[in-house]
Amino acid sequence: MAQFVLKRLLMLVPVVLGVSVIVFGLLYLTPGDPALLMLGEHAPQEQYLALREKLGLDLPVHIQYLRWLGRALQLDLGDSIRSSRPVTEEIATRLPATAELAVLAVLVATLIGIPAGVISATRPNSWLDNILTVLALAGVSMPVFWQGLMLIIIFSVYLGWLPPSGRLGGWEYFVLPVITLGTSAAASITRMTRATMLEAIHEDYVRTARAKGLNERRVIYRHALRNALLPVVTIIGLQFGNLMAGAVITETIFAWPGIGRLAVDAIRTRDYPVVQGVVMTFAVSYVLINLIVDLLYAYLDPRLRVRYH
Amino acid sequence: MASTMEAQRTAGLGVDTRGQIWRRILRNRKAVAGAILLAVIALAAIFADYITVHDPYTQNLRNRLQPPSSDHWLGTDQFGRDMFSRIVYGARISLRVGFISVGIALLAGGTMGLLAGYYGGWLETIFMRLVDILLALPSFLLALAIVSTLGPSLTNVMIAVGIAYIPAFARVMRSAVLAVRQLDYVTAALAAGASDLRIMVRHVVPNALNPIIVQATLSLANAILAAAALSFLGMGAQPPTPEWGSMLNSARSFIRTAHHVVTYPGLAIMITVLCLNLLGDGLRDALDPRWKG
Repeated sequence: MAQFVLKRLLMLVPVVLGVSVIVFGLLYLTPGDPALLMLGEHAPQEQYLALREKLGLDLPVHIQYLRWLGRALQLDLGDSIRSSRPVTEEIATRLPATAELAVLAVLVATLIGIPAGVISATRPNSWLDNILTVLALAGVSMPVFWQGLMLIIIFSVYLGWLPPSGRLGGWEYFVLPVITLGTSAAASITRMTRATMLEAIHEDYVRTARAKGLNERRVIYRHALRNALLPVVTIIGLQFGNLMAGAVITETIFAWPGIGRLAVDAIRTRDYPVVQGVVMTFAVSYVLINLIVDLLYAYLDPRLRVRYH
Repeated sequence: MASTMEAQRTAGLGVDTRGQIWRRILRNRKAVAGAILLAVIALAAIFADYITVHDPYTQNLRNRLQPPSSDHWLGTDQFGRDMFSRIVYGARISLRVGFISVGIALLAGGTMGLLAGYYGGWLETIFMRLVDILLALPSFLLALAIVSTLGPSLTNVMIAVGIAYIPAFARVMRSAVLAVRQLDYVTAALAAGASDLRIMVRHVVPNALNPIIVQATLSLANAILAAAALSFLGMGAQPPTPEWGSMLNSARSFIRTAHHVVTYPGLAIMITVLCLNLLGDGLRDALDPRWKG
C-alpha cells in the first residue's frame, strides 16, 4: 500500500506543475500589459512602475514563472492589489468557511443520495423509483444560483424562517447554503447509486446470498450495497469539484465569506494575484481530494492495489 | 468476426444497424420526451420573432415589475420589458452558446483524442498529460479563470466553456479510437494501403461516434448551465442582452417585491437543461445498453 501511495503522490507532481503554468500563464493570455490590466488605465505612474517592478515584468517570462513558482512553493502567492495583504493570508482566513460548507454539503448529499439510490434500485419502475428518478434528474439540471434564490424567496421572504444571507454563527445560517450546494451532489449520488445497485442486485453473489436464506435487508445492505458503493465513492470525490464551482456561486448569493466569494470579488476588481492564488488553491485541493478518493478506492478494492505492485 | 463484435461491444460501440439503433432510441421514453421538448424550445428560439408580441428590449418604466397578465404572459421586468419575449429570445442565446462551446470542445478535444488514440507514442503522452492537467481544475472554475482574463463577454464565455470541456471529449474519443483501432477492418484498410487520414475519417471516427454523441448531448446541458452561471456572476452576457443568467443577476434585488423576474428565467434554464439530460441519458441507454443511468 505504501508503494501505491508513493506512486500516486509522484504522479501528482507534473499535474500540479502543469496547473501552475496555466494559472501563471492566464495573466498573459490577454494582449497588453498585465500591470496596466490590474491597475486600470488611470493608475498613477509610480504605482504602475512599482507593480511592474514587483511582478518582475521586465524579466523574460520563464524567469518570471520560476520566480513566481519558487515563491508559491514557500506559500508566498504575492500580495492582494486591493487590500495589500498577503494572498495566502486572505485565503487562509476564508478557507475554513468554504471547507465547512463543502463538507456539510457532501455529508448531507451522501446521507440523502445513497439511501435514495438504494430505495430506487430495490423497487425498479415503482412509483417511488419514478419520483426519485425525476427528482434526481431535476436536481442535476437545476442551476445552483436559481435554486439559491428560490430558497431565499420561499424560506426567507415568504415564510421568514431562515436568514437570507451571512454567516453569523447559528445553524440557521447554514441551512439554505448547504441545501443549495448539496442538491446537485445528492442528485448525482442518487443516480450513480441506483445504476450500480441495479447491476449489483443481478450478480451471482446476491443470488447466492438470497439462496442461503438471508433476509432481504442483509442481502441488500451487506452484499449488494457494499459492492455497488465502489463507483459511488468516485462520484462523491468528483462531486467535490462541482462543489468548488458551486461554492463560488453559493457564496456569492448568500454573502458567505469563503474563498469562492473571494474569487468572484477578485475577478471583478482585477486583483490577479488573488485570482491566481484561489485558482491554485482550488486545483491543489481538488487534486488532493481525488488522491484520497483513489487511495480509498484501492483500500476498498484490493484488486487495484495489486495492479500497482 | 465474433471477436470483433465482442471488442466493439466492450468498447461501447454499436454493432447494430442504423435501423436497430433508431428503433432503440425511439422506444426509449426518456430520449423521445427530451427530444420533443428540446425541439419545442429550439423552434421557439428560431421563430422568436413570430411568437412574441413585445420587443425584448423595449422599456416601459411605467409598467415595471408587473405580475403575469393576459398582455404580458410572464409579467414585466424592472424596466417594464416583457419577460416572455426576453425568455424566448434568451433560448436563442443559450442554445447558441451551448452549441458553439460544445463545438469548440468537440473539435479540439475530439481531434486530440483521435490523434492520441490513433498514433499513440509521444503524441499521446503529450496530449493526455495536457488533459490530465486541465482535469485538475473543475471545468467551471477553469472556465471562470479563463473568462476572468479574457474579460466579460458572451464570446469569451463560449471560448472559456469550450476550452473547459476539451478534456472530456479528448478522453472519450481516445478510448473509443483505441477500441476501434485494433479491429479487423482497420487492419484490413491499413493492409490495403489506405492513408492514415483516410482510415481515421472513413473508418475510425464513424465507429467512435456513439460515445461522442452521448458526451456531446450531456456536455451541451452542462455548457448551458456553466454559461448561464458565468453570466449570472457578471462575467458573460451583459445587460440588456436577454440572456437567462444575466437576467437573473440583474433581477436579484427584486426578489422581495416581484419574484416572477427570478422564477421564470431560472425555470427556462432548468427545463432546457433537463431536456438535454433526458435526451443524453436516453441516448446513452439506447446506444450503449451497458451504461444505465
